[in-house]
Amino acid sequence: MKIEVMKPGLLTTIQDQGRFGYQDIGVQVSGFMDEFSAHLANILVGNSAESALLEMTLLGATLRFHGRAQIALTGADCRSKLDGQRILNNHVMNVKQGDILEVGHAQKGLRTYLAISGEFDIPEVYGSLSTNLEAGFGGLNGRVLEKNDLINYIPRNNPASNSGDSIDFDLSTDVIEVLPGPEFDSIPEHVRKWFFETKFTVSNDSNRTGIRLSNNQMIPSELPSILSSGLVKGTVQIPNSGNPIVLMADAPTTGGYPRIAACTDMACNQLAQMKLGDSFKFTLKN
Amino acid sequence: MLIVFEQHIDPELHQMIIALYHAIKKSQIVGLRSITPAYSSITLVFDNNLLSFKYLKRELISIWTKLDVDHELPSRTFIIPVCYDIEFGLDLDKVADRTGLTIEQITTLHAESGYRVYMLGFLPGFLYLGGLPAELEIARKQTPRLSVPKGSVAIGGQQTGIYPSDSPGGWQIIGRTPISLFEPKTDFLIQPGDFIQFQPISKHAFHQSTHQLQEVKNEN
Repeated sequence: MKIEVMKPGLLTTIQDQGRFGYQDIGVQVSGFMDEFSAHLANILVGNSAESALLEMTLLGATLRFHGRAQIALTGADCRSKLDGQRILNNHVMNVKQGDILEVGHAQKGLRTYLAISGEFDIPEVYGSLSTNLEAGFGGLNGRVLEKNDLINYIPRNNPASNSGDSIDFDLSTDVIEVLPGPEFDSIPEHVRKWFFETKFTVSNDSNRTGIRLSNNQMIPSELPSILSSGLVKGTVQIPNSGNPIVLMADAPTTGGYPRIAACTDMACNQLAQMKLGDSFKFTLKN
Repeated sequence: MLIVFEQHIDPELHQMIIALYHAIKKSQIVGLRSITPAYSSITLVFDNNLLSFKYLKRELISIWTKLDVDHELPSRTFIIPVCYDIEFGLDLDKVADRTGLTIEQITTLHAESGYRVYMLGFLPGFLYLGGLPAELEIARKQTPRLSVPKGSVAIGGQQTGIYPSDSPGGWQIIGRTPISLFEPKTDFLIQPGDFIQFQPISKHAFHQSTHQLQEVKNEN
């Protein structure tokens, strides 16, 4: 079956659980930003949780399905429409040949996930279908979806029919839970205190690589750098500029800035749904 | 999980890290998703539905106690052609200024040394090389370039490296290699523990047809 891209949306990519096992040659993991929503979408359509789906950002895509399928939308609510009718997130829907899905503008949250029962018919790169936008490979030729793209898909038809029930999930929060990072103890006390007491705001240049933050309390003076060492999704670094960065899916595999904290998995999902201007405080998980 | 050693760049320490890295890889522990060796640490990512932290720690301690550091590890030497012409060495003037050396002295010193591959990171195929002569040590740029051309050979602090693709970067650029170091879907040849030798080539040679990564065959 072909999925036709009528409107690509702001930043829509194919992502799965991620590209593991190649971090030792510097290949980033990529993959879902909000794992919770992605897993939910996949499970609703009967796919394995780690399967590849479409991740949309802020403004979703408009797609025409050239075949029957079962789909589910999760994550940010975009007041989406299927075949002209308003639909809800978080439940499975049947799509018929020629149906058009319009995923609109995110009302609350930032990222929306579209899972389709079945699998993409595209080549794997280093064992994954995730798109590595930085390096330009994986997913659909290593790039975001563009108008007129025709994506090959192999649908799997489940017996499930339209389920009217839709549950609400709210990932919005003003508290981000973290654990101490590897360099936590060697960071000056007054910086650690600032880190947990300050309200941080999501700022410009936040993207799949990292969530950049700003604050109006203090900018700590430059901390000693560390010998480049491994980074994982959710690592919070304090770079030379002072404001923390939370590394996300496309983050480099190694880095030389001190790692003050590590976000929990759920905190990563919550951060993936934060928009420019949203703010929160870090809190140490017990 | 992060395994940490004494924090300095040291060939002997690194040799041990590489030995440990290979031993962990060989052990094929179920649930271990990736192993990232670095200068003085190894970062492990594991699936905690398949593998507990406690179990992993026990397995690693077992591997560590049985580790034979002196065991001959596969290690290769590669030659990478570099053109140090001012057209490619965007920061050569700056490096000359700061170090007090002439451009010729800089490029000779850089090419004469053999470099150890300590780790890969930052970008797919970005090599972190150690063994830079002390005279060439120079701080990173205050403001990183938004785009460093693919193949640029650069110096940052005590390290030297090669940008495998166009990317932002803060290191001082002294030359460029015509070789494409990293191609997705193909096997990446260079591993931590391998050695690199730079071979100066002229601008004319740079623009010649495709250059290949050459391996030096040891006659041991």
